[in-house]
Amino acid sequence: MPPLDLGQVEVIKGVASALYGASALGGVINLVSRRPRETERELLVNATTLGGTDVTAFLAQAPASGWSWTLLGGYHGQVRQDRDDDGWTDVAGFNRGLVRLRVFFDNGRGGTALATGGVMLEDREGGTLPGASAPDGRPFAETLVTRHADGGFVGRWLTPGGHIISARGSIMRQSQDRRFGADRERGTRVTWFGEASLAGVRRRHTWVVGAAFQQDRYDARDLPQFDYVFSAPAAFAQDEIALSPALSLAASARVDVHSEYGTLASPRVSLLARPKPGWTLRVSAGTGAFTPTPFTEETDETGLSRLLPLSGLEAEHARGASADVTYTHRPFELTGTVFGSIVNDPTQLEIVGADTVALVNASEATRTWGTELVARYRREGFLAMLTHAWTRSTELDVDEGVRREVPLTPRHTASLNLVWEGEVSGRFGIETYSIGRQRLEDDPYRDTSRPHVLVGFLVERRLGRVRLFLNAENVFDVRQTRWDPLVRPAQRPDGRWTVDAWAPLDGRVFNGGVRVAF
Amino acid sequence: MVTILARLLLALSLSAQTAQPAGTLVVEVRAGDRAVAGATVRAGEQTGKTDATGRTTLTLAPGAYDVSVEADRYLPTVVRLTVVPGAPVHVTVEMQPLEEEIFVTATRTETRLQDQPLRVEVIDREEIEEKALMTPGSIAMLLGETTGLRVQTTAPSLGAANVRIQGLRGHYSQLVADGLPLYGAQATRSACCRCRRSIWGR
Repeated sequence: MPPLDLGQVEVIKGVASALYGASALGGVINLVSRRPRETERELLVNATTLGGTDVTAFLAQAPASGWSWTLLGGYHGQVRQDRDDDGWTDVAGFNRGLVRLRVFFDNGRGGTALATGGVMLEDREGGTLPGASAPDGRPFAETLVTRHADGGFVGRWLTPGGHIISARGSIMRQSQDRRFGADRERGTRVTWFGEASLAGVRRRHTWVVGAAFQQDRYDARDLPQFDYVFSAPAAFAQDEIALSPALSLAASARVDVHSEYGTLASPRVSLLARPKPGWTLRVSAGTGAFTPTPFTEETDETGLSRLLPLSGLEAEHARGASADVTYTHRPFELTGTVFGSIVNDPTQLEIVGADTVALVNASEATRTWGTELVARYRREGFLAMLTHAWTRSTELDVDEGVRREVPLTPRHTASLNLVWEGEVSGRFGIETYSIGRQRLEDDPYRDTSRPHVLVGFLVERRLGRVRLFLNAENVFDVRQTRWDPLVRPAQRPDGRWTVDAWAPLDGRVFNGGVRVAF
Repeated sequence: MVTILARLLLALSLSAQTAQPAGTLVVEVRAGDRAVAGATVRAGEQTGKTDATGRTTLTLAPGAYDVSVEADRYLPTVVRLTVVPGAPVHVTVEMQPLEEEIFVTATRTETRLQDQPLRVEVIDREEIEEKALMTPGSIAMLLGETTGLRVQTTAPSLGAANVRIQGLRGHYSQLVADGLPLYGAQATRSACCRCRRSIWGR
C-alpha cells in the first residue's frame, strides 16, 4: 500500500490473537486509511538511481451530506539489477499497477461506514539473467505474476439505547503464477471474512462482544496436493475497566473453532497505570495459537514443489508477556519495554531427502525475549529519535536436533534519526541504523553475519504547492555481495539457490522526485 | 458670580475624572511548570507579548475585561477579571497544549492512545508524510523504522519480504487495512512483496 493513501499505522506487538484470531501471534499492523477532510488532488513522481520509477495519484473529495471518497492509482516499476555482475539478479525487476477506491459515510450522529475495493497487478522477475546460468550450468529464471482484487466494508451505528453495533466484512482473491527454473506453480488464494460486534459502556466498563467468521482457501493448479479450505468461526469478548483515574484493566478472550486444527482459545489481559503525571506503565500477557499453512518464510522463496503434503501438523501455541514504561516531560519522551514469548510446537521445514522437505512441529519451543528502548526529543522544527533493541531468540534446529539461535535475528539493533523541519521551507533528515551480528543458517560462506551500519539522508524543499525531494539510502554502499556471493555453489534440498539476505543487496540508492498538490 | 463658581466646579470634577489612576495588570502565562514566552495577551485596546519569564504588564483603565491569551501550539484562552486602580492585579493563565487526539481503532474500542491498556504504537500522519518520500511505492521503510519491527527479505531473488515483530518470524505478523484482512490471512508476505531495495529494519 503506498503511503500516500495512509492516514495512520497502528502496531500491536505481541500476542494479539484475542483481537484478530489465529494469524496474529506476533502482532498486528493496522493500516488506517487516510480520511478525506477537504478536496485534494495529489500527484507524486519518483525515480531512483537503480532504475526504479513510481507515479502515484491521490484524489479526495470533501464530505458533502456525509459522503466522501478517495481514489488512489499508482504505477511502480523497477529495472532488474545485477550489482555484482554474477549473472544472478540482486534487485528483482517488476512492473506493478494498482487502483483503490474508498467511499466514506458519516451521518454526524455516530454512524459511520467505509467501503473499499482495490485491484493490483504485478509482473516480477529474478533469478538468472537471460544468457547466464546457475552453478549447475543451467539457467534458473524466476518469475512471479500476481493478480489481486479485494473489497470490504466497515460500518458502525449507534443504537437508541446508547450501544454501538459494528460490522465488517471483506473478500480477497489473489492468483499467483510462479516459475522457478523449469518448475511452474500456479495457485489462487481466496480469503473472506465477516465480523459483527456490539459495544457498550456501563459505569466503569467498556465492553465488546462479537462473533466472526473467516475462510481461507487455496487452489493449487499445478500441485493439487496443497489445496486447502480452512474455516474458522469465532466468538470474542472484551472488557476495559477504569478501576480508578490512574488504573485501567483490559481483558479479552477469543475462541476459534478451526476446521483443521480444532478449538483454539486466546485470552489476554492488559493493565495500564498512570501513577504520576508524565509516567505511564503497561503490563500485558496473553496466549494465542497459529494455524500452519504451506506458506512459510522458506517456501516463499522455494515454492511448494519440493515440499511434502502437510500431514499430522498441530497448531502452534504461544504465551507472551510484555511490560513497558513511558516517561514524558516535554520535549522528551522515553519508553522502555521488556518482552518475552514462548511458542510451543513451532513449525519448521525439515530436510527429509536429497530434494525433499517437510513441514513439521518442532519438539521444543521457540523462546524469545528482549528489550526495546526509544528516546524522543521533539521541539518546534526539530525531532531526534534514538532507539535500541536487544533480542535473544532460540529454537530447536530440527535437522541437527540441537538448540540454536533463530537465524537472521540480530542481537542488537540501534538507530538515530534527526529531522529539521521548517514550517515553510521544507525538511532535512539524517538517519543511521546499526544492525548487529546475526546467526546464519546453512550459509557456506559464513556462520554469522557482519555487523554493519547504514546511513541515509532526506532533503525536501517546498515551493508553494510543489514539494521537491531527494533521498539517499545506504550512502556508504553497504552490500552483502561485496563480501560474499549471493548464489550458493549447489542447490539446497528445499530448492534454494541463494543464501539468506542479511545485509542490503541493492547498495547505495538515490531517489528523487516531486510531489504536487492541486 | 454663580456662573464662575459653576464653571470652576465643573472644571474640578472633570479634572478629578481624568486624574483617576490607571490600573496595572500583570499577566503570567504558564503551561504546567513551564513559562510560555511570546504569547500575545489582549485586554481591551491593549496588547502585550510575554517575555522569557512568561510575563507581560498592561496599563488599563479600571473596569472588567475579557483578557485573551494566544500562543503557538496552545489552545487560545480567555480569562475574565476586573482591573482596579492602585495595586497591580496579578493573574496566572494556564494554557492547554494543542494536540490532536489520536484515536486507536485497532483495539475495537476507539479510545485515545494514552488511555489504551494494550500497548499500541502509532505512526501518525506526520511521520508517514516524512517516510512517504523514502519509498513512495511501499510501506516497507515506514514499518522498518518502528523499533521491534524488522522487515526481513525472505526471497532475495524476487525481493519478497515480510515483517518480523519482536523477534518472531514474519508469518506470525498480520497485516490488516482498517481492520480488514484485505491482503489475505498471512499478509505481510504478499503486501511487502515490493522491496525494490532490501529494506532493513531495526
